[in-house]
Amino acid sequence: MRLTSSFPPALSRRRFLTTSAQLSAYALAGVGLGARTLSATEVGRHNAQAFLEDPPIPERLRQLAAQALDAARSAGAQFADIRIGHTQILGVGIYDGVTPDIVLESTLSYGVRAMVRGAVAFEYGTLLSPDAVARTARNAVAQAKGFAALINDTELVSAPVVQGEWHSPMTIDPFTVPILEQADLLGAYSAAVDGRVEGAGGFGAFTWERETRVCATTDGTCTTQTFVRALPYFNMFARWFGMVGLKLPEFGPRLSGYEYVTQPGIQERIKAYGDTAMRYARLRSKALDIGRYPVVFDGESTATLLNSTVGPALQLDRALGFEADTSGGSFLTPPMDMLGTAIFSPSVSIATSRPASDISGAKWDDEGVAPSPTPMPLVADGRLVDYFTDRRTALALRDWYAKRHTPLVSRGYSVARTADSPVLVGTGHLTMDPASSRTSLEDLTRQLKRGLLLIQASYVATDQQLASGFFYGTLMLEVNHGQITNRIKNVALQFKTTTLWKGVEAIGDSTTLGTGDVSLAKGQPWQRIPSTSRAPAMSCKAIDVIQVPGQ
Amino acid sequence: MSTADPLLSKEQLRQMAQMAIRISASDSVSVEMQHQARAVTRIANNTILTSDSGSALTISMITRAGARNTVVFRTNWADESMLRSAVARLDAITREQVGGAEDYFHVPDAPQSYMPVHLWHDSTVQAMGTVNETVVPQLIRDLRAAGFRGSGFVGLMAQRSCVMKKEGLSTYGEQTDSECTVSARTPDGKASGWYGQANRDWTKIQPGDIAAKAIDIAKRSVNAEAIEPGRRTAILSPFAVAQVMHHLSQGFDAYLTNVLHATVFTVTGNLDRNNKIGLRVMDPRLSITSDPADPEGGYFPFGVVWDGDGSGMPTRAMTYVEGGILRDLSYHINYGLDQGKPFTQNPWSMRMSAMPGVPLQTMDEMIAHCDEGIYVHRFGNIEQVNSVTGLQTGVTRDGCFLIKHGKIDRPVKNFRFTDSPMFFLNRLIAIGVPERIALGFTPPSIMPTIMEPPYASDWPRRPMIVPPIMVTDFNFTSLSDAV
Repeated sequence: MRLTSSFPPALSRRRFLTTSAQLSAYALAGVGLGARTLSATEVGRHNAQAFLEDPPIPERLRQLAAQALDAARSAGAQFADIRIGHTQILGVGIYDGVTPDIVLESTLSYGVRAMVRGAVAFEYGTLLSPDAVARTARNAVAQAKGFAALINDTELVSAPVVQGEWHSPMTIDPFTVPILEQADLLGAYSAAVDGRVEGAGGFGAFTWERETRVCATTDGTCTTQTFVRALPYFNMFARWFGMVGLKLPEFGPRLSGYEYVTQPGIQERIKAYGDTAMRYARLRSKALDIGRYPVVFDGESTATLLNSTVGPALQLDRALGFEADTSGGSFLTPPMDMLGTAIFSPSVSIATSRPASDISGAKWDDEGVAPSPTPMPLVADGRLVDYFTDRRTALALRDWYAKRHTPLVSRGYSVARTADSPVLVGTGHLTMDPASSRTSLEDLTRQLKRGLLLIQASYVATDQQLASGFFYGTLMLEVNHGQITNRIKNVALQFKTTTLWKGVEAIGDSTTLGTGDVSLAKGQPWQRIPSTSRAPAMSCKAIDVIQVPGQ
Repeated sequence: MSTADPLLSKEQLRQMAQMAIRISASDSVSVEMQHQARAVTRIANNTILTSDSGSALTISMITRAGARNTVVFRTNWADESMLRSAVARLDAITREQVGGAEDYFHVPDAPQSYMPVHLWHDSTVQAMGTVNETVVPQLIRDLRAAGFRGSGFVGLMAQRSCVMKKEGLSTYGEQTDSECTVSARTPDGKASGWYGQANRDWTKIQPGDIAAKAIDIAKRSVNAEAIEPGRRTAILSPFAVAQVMHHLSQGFDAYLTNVLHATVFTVTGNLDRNNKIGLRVMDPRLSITSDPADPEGGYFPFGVVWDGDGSGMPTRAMTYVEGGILRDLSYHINYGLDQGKPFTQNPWSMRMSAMPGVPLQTMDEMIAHCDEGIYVHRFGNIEQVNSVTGLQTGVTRDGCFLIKHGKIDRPVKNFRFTDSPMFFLNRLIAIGVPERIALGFTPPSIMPTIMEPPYASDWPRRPMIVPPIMVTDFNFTSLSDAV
């Protein structure tokens, strides 16, 4: 459920523009330049391309990258890399079910990392001229030289030299689809649920982000990748005994073209979710005594748990203390003590990858390293077996890889949310194995004598080491003797992360799989790092329920 | 980064703005130029993790044609040919528009007057080129010498902005800011301390003092014991108060309060009023103000491009809470014009202080007057659970101590709290002297409906000037294993 008390139907147009931009957490995070805010219907007859400048030719970006790297080499860099990115954003929303609101944005930026005698520095800029990028590179080298007396221990694991281009999968370029057509589609989706039942409604927005990013290193690597990011959302709500909101899970963030929002059957799914929201809204809501209850998480809620606790905890920079002064550490630390130990229930196995269609998808990461094309195990039968790494952090796992006769390499999870941001360790798409035996969500729910069922939990508040969490503001249902009896209000769930994952009693089958996405901040100035996951429903034996007033 | 001024000058910015205005064919055009330089160094595990510096130019052009709608175009392409091309494209978009504007108002574009502010310090600009040779190595040496695993952040920023409109409005602002924070952890990772300072003038920052205090808190946090959570008297340091109050800022938005009924100051189910203006909302000893000219913080006395048509509009000193009574709310330009209220930015920079004549206590005095309670140095991972009740949850971090019989008794394991400033600011026991504090890592909300404009997020955040407070029955809801 994405909504709390802010409800777009009452927003003015101008207000909605800013709101819609913010609602798309990925779209504008860290992007400060190049926005046009349009708000007239006539403009919508055109496609976005009519109003945007032509993107720089990739070859031009590669030339500038080469000039920067030459400058870094000449200035004495032992190693340097550069990321140059050109990004265009189109946001389309409707504020009254019909009238489009449009956001257009364009950004150009770059960042150079230079290493001198084991010391690293980073400089960024937005003036894209040969002189400017070369000057930025020289500044980075000078800065690193200054640090060399103080630090000399930074190493990067070796990586194969690669050169190539990659384009994320796309059939229809959303920047070529007339903006009004997109607004009309949103209107049709809203109409599918608006007024169908009194008290029900739906609203959403499309955000598209097209980025060409060049990554080049003094080792000779040069990759050019074009990402078209689809960041739509659509929410259904229903008011009866209180309000219930559900999101359309088919609209999670991913790499795709316009075809993503025109999938066959979407309107039927919206209708179905609208009906489901109304069914839940018609349940009476009640308070619940505090205590410990068995809880069933639907697939989306499990996926949110994965993204919010396990995913960031497995970022090796967090586990190594790089984020101690900022986003925090990890409960999975120290890494060498954790690897190989049972941290979760034996029924839990988690793997990761960067598939082409996922929002984290890429052929190469932001250091030019290719992630494994096949899912990489992170947790196998409850035991921790790997972390997300980049070229800088992977060295910390040298002994573990040696023990397993595995080459010491970066796993390819370096990420810079924008080209002018320093690289951090990101998270891939997480997958949790479903049960092989038939176990539906209803089966899991039926096993509850008295407990709770969580539906579409979209956010979990954690602590600085991800060691505990707090579910709130989500749809919680009371289950008595296997039957859903009420909605629960004014409560939150608190848990210790390891206790929760060790306490997984049963896992649903593939029919219960759900997707989740979060975008957590790390670094300072922070960058939002998106992550997604797909997970089955699961049941946990005892989770603390506490009272919180006024939900 | 060199010690030379890294920014375009006021005159250069104005010339570019004037050129854009001159070549635009639109009836009305305004231009906002912003150039920002930043030098950031992060320390982790007693070494430099990243050094990140550079500058970014933003050119935002806003046009209207008669009653037509507003168009905003932003770019960072600063050369004249690109600027001409951008203006031409913007003019084309403006010509495409017809009618509409049903909920827009004519925003004054004539010259305005602005309150004088002093937000720029050359010392901060000069330090951009020197901190990595002086301060950062010293911080690392201090942390290594103490035997702690240290991390930290040293950030400096300088920015110049100007706004010009075709009809004559013209304003200019320049500001610097800086922040230094240090975390010290025992090698076993079981105890942690944190301290920080923020100031527009880097020379007011005392890095040695920051490291020493972080180390001291870490030392005193060794062997923390678990004690029962529950409602307890709490002494919140200014760091902790600022983190909580930051989340309250959005509550002062009049549109969210009156129209969307979505803030702690909303009144629902009452035909006579839709907000709590004139009502007591917190302890009568408290006041909350926001002033562009605040000597300990302040901000530009005009709206920025995020404020849409409010870009360049004068903003003024506001008293939001006086004697515990809600006196005013902030109005963005359109809603303000609709309601007959002048434009005001949301108080992402605020000062919370005691009313005149209220006796103040230092934190030591608060501790001395506390029979049993918890001292909270700082919070982490705060999230707003409910915007209408103001309920927040978060975890204590980097210093949490049991107070007994007027003294710090022992370190305790961290707690999760679940409480609202609208609750605990009505349970006030004592208040101290407000000071500008370092916010440190203060991430955006994980909830997508929480809106924060760019100037309230990322780094640096707008100044928060808050006191330590002592309250009863603060709601610590569970223990946390996190350190």
